[in-house]
Amino acid sequence: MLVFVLGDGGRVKNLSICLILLSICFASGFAPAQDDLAGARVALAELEWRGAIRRYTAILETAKPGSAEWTEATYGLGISHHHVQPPSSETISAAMRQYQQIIDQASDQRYVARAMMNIGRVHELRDYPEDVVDLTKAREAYEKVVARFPNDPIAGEAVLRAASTLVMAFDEPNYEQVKSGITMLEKWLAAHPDDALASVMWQYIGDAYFRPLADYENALRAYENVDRLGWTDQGNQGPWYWRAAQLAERFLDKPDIAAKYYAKIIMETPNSGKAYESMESLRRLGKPVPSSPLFETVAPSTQPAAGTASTQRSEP
Amino acid sequence: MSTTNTGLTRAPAGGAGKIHPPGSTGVAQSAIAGYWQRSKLYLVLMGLMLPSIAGLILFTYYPQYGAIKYSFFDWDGSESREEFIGWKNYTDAFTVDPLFWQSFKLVLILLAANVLKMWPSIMAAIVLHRLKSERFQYIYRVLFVVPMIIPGVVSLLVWKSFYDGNTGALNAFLNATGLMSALDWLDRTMAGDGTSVGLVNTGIAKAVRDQFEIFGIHGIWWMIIIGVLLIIARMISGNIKKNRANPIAPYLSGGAALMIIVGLALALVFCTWPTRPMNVFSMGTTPWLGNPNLIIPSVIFWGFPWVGTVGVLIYLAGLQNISIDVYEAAELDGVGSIGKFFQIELPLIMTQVRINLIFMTIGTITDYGFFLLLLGPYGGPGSKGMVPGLYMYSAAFIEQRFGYACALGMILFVILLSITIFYQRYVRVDK
Amino acid sequence: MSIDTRAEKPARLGGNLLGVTMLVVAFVVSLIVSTVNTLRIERPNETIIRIAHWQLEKGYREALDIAIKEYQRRNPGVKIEQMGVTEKLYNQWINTQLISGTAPDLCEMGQSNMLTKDEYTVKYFIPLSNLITRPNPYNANNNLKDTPWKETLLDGMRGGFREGLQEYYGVPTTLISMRLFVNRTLLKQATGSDALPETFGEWMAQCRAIREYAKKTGQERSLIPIVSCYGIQSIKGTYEVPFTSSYERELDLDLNGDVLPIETYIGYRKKQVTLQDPSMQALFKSMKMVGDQMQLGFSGMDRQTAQYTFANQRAAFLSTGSWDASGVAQQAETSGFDLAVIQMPLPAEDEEFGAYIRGRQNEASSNGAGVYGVYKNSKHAEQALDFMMFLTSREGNEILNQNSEWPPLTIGAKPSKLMEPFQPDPRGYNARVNLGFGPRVSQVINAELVNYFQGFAPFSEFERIYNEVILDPRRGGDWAWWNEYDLRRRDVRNKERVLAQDLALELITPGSRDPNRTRRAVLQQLTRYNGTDYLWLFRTEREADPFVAWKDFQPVFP
Repeated sequence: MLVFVLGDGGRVKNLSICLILLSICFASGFAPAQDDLAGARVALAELEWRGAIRRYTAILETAKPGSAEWTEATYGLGISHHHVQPPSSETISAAMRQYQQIIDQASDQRYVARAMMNIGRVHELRDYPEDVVDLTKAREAYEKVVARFPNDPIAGEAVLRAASTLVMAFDEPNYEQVKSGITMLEKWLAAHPDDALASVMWQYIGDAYFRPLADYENALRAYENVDRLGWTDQGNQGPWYWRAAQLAERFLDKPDIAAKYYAKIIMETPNSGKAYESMESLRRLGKPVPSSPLFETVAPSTQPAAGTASTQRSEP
Repeated sequence: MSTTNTGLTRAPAGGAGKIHPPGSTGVAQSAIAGYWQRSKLYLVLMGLMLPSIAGLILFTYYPQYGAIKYSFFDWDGSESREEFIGWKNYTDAFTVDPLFWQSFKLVLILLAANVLKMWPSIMAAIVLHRLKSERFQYIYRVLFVVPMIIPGVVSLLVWKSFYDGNTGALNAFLNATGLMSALDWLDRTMAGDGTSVGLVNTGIAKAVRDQFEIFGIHGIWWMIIIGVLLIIARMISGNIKKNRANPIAPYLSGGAALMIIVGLALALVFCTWPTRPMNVFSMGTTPWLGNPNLIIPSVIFWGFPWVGTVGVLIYLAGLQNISIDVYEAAELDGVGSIGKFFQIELPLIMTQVRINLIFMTIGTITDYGFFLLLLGPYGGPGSKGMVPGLYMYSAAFIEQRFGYACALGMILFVILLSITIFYQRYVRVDK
Repeated sequence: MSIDTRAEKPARLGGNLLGVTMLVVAFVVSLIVSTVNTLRIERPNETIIRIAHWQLEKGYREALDIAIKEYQRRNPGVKIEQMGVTEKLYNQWINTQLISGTAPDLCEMGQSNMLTKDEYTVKYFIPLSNLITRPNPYNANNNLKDTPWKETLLDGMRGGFREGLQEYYGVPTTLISMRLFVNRTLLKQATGSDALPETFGEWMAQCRAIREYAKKTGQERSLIPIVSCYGIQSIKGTYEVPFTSSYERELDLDLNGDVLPIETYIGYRKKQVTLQDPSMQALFKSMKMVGDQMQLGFSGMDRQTAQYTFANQRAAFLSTGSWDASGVAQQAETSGFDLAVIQMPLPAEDEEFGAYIRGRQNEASSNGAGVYGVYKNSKHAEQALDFMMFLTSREGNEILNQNSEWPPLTIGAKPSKLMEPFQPDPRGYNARVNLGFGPRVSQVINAELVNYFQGFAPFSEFERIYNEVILDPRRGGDWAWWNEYDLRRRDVRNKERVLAQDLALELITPGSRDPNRTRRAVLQQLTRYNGTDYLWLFRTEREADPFVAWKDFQPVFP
């Protein structure tokens, strides 16, 4: 149809030129503006792994090995290969190579420690369909971090990860590995009670005592420690409050502790769906029921929910 | 770059068409020049086609390639779950998924019904074609075109309201004419318990539905399968005895037709019509789209009197190509109106019939939007309105199994391709 | 044969010229409009915030305009422009805007993959975690002045939380809830009283009276007691908790206060819950009673027909959500009948089924709706966020929701008179038996159970098909279990991406990332155990080896 519109060859030539120019405009629009670290950081912040790989690779062509620029680019390239999608054995191998380069050549020890941790993560997680999970190798990698950086904040994280490779082996007979994982964490916490991840560790210990060990006494003890330190996932701790309250009331006969958690549900996580039941439980236990702003929204004329039907009405 | 070396010389004026003695350089140069001239034009023309071809490749073929690729993947539509699993999706479709194959039963019934529903359009086109007054012919043609501008969704909603149990026009009509009472009577008598008199009693139903079950497939479906096998046998025997008389061909064709028609008729009666009373007619508010047993009949009745505007126009175009001489010759031979239809018009619009048949088949097998809007993603109560396209949609968008949905799509594609090839080869077109 | 080209040419040219002229005019007009818009947007002395949404229901745009005017009054120099785009077009429109870098400063989140999928959200929208923990300055004059912004909303801002990214990317502005609308005028005509039903028994008695009235007045075919915009499943949804929350004590294995579908399946396998249990039977029978009072074959009735039937006084009760309230109220006014809105009535203790009722379902855990995200390339992101603070302050939320007749989301914000019954009721229970474990089982519940409720199949038929599917290891509960396990381990792997990004950016620029976010992601990874807890659960609860049970029908194993 265009032939009829354009007519002679001259116009066709013009059209060709237009098309070529258009293609150049298009291509330039998609070309990276500048292959520098700032651009790579933006790509990283936007989880644009492919863009980050392109930029970091370009930077590494000129960066001096061991320099700050080289370290950042190599590490960035490593995590970009680690997480680019779809993952494959090639991308993961490339990531491992880059992590190893960091460990061997980087002077900034923060990068070295994180690269060592990442090697553990590669062993622990299933990255692509044929990938084999190797918890032992993962644990070894984490333990190397603890051994090399015992006083760095990353050591706590490494201990937590190493312990988790034991705890998640739920299938061990008698749960020996689970218990050794818990022991590992408890020892670390005894020595480092103020670790940045202490609350996470206690919560994890509590969960492991609860399931698969079914040791409710110790589970509650661990949750009490979390409560003392402050819950990590603020606003979403309602289910743990409920679990702690249930353990205390139903299995351990500790009504005071149960009441404490019921009250916390009402005051701190009123929209967890359990506030009303917590009020009932407190009444049942004969404890005072705190008020919550959430319940102020209910019209006073309406009837209570439990047992009988209630209606709200309006006549516009 | 030397133009001589590459032969890029412009041919002398008038030289392109001249005959030169073989082997002369002038001839060769002129031929090359002529070829180059033509090539240049072809290149420009092909260059102009490039955007369309690129668009076609990018927007039509690339997604198809994606569908083939992902049919071998466990894919949930996101990048985080994209694993190659070989033929697993296909084996699942054939072994794990009874509902997918069950949905083909409905398609088979709809295909048979749609073949019958093509006839009113052919008839309408012929009536229109035979109209003597050109003015009226024009008016009718316009009248056929006007509904095309009404969006499909509007017509769907109109029909949906037509079927509404309480306010629908269909029930109003049936109640006003007393036909609803007749349906109620049929419902009670047809659903006999073995003692009552009806069109179908439990004894016959049991015999056909249950007693003739072989390899877990009802006798009715075996009839259809045998019919299809006979068609294949007919095709093979036709190919073997291409240029010779084929004495068994008529028997194979006849047998196939008999098996398929009777099988489909029985399927329609026994497999879609319940043997238990439905008790939905006595109130006069029959839920045509709410009762699982009425969904298939309602979908078949949909669009009555089934005069499709596009179909009529296509047939009309074919009819208008028939030379007036043929009619005159037929009249001299004393052929009547019906004779003209069977001996002239129908054979000469078979190309159009075949096109519509292909479109209808593709539409019937792949359609899901109609059923989705009408019955929801689960195909209505009892999934009675579940067609393969809808099942594919549910697998992708409800279950988030996009890879599996792609595999179902590929199976549908192969089935459609086979049917289309069959039509192309075996739907007879007389020129 | 000669062809008269002179006769043809002008006609063809005329047609072509007309087409070309129309095309050129359309192009020029679009060019002018877009240039004017661009110039207006980029005017240097004025801050213009654009807010895009697809809420074209009656009253919403007008309400947003009122809120905008109030905001502009308080913030001179700021201009807010709202862009309402139809629901069907919003997807394509917003995608184009996001890709071309010209998206509005505030976008309603939803409809499009680019607004719902994590990989795009992180690219195009601003994370809000650090901002929402501070108090909302627009609440300075009320008792929420010291409360973190996030906690001032009834849903704790969960409506804007992205689980996969462990981050808040949107601010919800309203709530939604399901209620029962009553035509009191019709109720009085049919039953002699316009008293609203207090209990399930009363409701059913009224429905039967309406049937009798219809019979007496010859409206048997046109008058129905109950219609529902979303079928009987939405009604059943509100009765599941009242009838089945008592199972929580037995079925909630992880003591998290909820019964997950997998826990229901375990209980079903162990016969802790069966379809023949008295409370389950009570639920099904009561819903069958409701079904009997709906149109024969009600599954064929769509939302529009249900509303139309109710508006035309051919039904006394309508079940639908708060988003339809304004339209229904207007229809009631036009048709001249008295409208009331109530919660679904529950059986009283002394009524049939009353013994199985624990209490009503609480609505405290519902998520907010009307969620707006702040576009990353916005030139005035802070101002846009400030507008969202105003819109979710007690006062701003009242203005928006009272005028649009939607339920407000901010704690203490007063709803309009019509919306009072739609305010979420935090009282009641939340756990319920969830029979739909896996997509195939859900398909059976949706397609087969409705047959029973419609009276077209006996309950035993549903029970037979349900058991056939849920007990089939290739498509039932075991398959769904494998799927849950697979999702769990993938979830850990997906979180690793966000975590790696966070830790890398922290290495590059120390102190730039929120350490709480990192800790939260670590905790969530750990407590999912790479899915091994679900394998363990299979061995302990199903007393079978999942690898043996699943290997025949699942492709890949770790």
